[in-house]
Amino acid sequence: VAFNHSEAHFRSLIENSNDMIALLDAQGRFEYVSPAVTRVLGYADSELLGHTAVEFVALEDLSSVLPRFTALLSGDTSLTTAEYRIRRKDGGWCIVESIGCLLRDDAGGAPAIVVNSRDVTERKAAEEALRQTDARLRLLNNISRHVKLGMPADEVVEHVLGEMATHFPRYRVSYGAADNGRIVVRFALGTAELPAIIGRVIDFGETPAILGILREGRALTIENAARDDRLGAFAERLREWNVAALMLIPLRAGGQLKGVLALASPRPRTWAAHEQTTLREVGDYLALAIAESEAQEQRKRVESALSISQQRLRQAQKLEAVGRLAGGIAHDFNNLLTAIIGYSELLLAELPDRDDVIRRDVLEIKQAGDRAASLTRQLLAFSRQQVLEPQVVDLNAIVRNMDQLLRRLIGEDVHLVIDSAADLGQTKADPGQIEQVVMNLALNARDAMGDGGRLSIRTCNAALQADEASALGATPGEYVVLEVEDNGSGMDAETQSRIFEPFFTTKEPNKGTGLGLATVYGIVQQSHGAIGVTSSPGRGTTFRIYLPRVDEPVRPARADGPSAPHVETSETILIAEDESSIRNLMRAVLARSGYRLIESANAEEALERLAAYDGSIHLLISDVVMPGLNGPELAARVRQRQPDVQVLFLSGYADQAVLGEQSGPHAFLAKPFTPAVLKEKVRQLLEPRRRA
Amino acid sequence: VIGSSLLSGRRVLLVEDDPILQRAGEASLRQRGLTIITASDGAEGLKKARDEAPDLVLLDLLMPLMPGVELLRALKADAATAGIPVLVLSNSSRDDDKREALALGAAGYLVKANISLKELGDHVERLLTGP
Repeated sequence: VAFNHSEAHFRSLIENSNDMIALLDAQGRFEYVSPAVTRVLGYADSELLGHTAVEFVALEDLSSVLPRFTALLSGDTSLTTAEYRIRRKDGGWCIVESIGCLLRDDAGGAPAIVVNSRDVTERKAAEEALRQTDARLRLLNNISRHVKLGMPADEVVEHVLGEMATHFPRYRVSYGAADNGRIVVRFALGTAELPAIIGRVIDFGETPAILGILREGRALTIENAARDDRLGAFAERLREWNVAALMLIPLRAGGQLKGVLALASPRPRTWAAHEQTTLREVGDYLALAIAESEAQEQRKRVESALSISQQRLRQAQKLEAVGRLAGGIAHDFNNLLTAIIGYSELLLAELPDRDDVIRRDVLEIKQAGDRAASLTRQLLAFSRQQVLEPQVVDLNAIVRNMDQLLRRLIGEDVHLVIDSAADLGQTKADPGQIEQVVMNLALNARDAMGDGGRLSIRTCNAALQADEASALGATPGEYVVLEVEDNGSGMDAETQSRIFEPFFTTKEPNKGTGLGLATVYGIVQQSHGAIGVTSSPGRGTTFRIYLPRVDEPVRPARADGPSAPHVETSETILIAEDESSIRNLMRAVLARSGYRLIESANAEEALERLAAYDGSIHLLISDVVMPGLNGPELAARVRQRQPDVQVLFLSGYADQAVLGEQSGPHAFLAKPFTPAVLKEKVRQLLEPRRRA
Repeated sequence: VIGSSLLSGRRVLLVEDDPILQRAGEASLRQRGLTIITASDGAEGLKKARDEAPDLVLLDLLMPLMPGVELLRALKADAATAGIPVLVLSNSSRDDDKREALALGAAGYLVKANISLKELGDHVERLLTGP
């Protein structure tokens, strides 16, 4: 009774247990299964009893399960554990953990095996999920540890992709930057089964639907590219790249698509939820880091631009001050030079005897005056106070005329060689600007040859073919070339790439403005030309200025010589000029030509004299800038009295700015001028009246 | 013996290098009334297939001496054995491997991780008795 009572107890324990308990015979057949077995696996008792247990085990797991069974039967061990998969009635697998022990029959019958199994399927799934979460957190942790705020975007991407490749060893991870609806693949790491794709372009213009998905911030998940009908032309790209399965996460910042992060497999696959989560989380982080890095770069750019523009402003202010000073000095010089040159000419006219010693001396004075006038003109060109016009010019003539000036500029240690092509074509340019180009290049060459050297200036014709022209940024065609070569220190590539930037200079502070080559560049560009530079450190520098060749003859310069015949005249000229030397010179010149002159030192005096004069005035010659009323204002007053009066303004270059639209019709004579030019100008102005 | 009478006398060549699987497979199939010939490597498998002319070959892919794929190719290339249906047992669930085996003429492709002994027997039975 006690036994029976006890057996009922045990039976109750077994039948109410959640563990699956089974009894197997020596052949491994089910002799008994507890209700838990049928409950968990879904089979009816009859489907199990008498059947071999291992028939239900996954083939793969037999190698570990069967030896344990045999070990129990043979008595090698009395207790064994195993983890394996067993087929459920519904076709799924149940992962079980089993403990088996041998049950000997004391009566000498065949032994049996008791197997106590527990369904660990859910626990295994939870463990796997935990493992994946753990791996994902480790990945994010690694990324956030390596990616520092403000790191350049490329470095951020590189770090993130490196970590991703470790996390997803079986896939390729890649990053593409968004560029006007296209994606340019910038980084790719991972499985060698896929071809290299860096630099490749995905044009979602072909597949707007996909671009739409990405722009909305949704992920694109492709399990089998060959069977995905959303892809359109993109499918072709994926086939080319041997990608069957793809996950594409848009990287967005500030509502904008910055790029994509992708996970690709050469084989079709169903992407697991945890893989999608991981990619999404890393993508969000990457987008944030890229946006932060861009913001940082933008801040740096703004700061540096601000600092540069402050420097430029200081430079420009300095330059303007220097320019104003140079212009002012040149203005006064021009007054003096007009007198020096003018009186020299008057004297020369009085001394016709060529062998006269005094005449030779006066000639020296005049020539010195001419040279001084030329220097003043260069100075004004340099301070950019000239408004000049393009005309057909002969480069050879320009270079020839600058010979003296250049020799003075470059000093005695530099040997100047000028080699002009005899058949050189013409070009259309502003001669003053071209002179400035030559001067700036010569100055740079001189500074590059601190210990002296050789400066070669050559001219030649050139025909630029398409490839040469495009390398120079010019259009193909015929050019005339001005070549300036030195054998000085030369430049490295880095310097060469910046020489035409305004305010870039390799010279010591205060030694160069950094505008020399920038001005050259501007002038050449304005003249529709191009510049070629060859240079290397220690090997000297060669600049080649290409100017478009034109087939027009050079217009002869306006004759300076006395062209008009001496005519007796009776016109009255009102002169207003505060500089007495100029006034005196004009009197000397014009009185000899028979004009009647009314002289004044300023506008007010001129108006007084005019008021006191009964006859009519034919011509007003006035300085532009005077104390009190200026030239244009005086001209307006005179015109009120006598509307048909001719007006001739005299000016140093610096005064030109005063002459505006309101100045009325007028002629203009630049200082310094020669008596002959003055006479000719006056004659031209008064002649129409005389004819009429 | 629970074998179906349809199967009795039918002979299956089991080419499997894992002795445990070989023995378990042999025992399981024998219970269904089949006659089992075993081979432990590809070369032996090829020889026995030629000598014994079985009704079916059960073929493991990962084997020494001659990989299963090579054996399959040899069987299909030889007119004497080309007609014997071959059921492949593989450790690989890669589509490419499956495609390759089927392209070489395998009658079926079973992945060891995804099948029980019972299901293996059911497959064999279907192949031998099927239309």
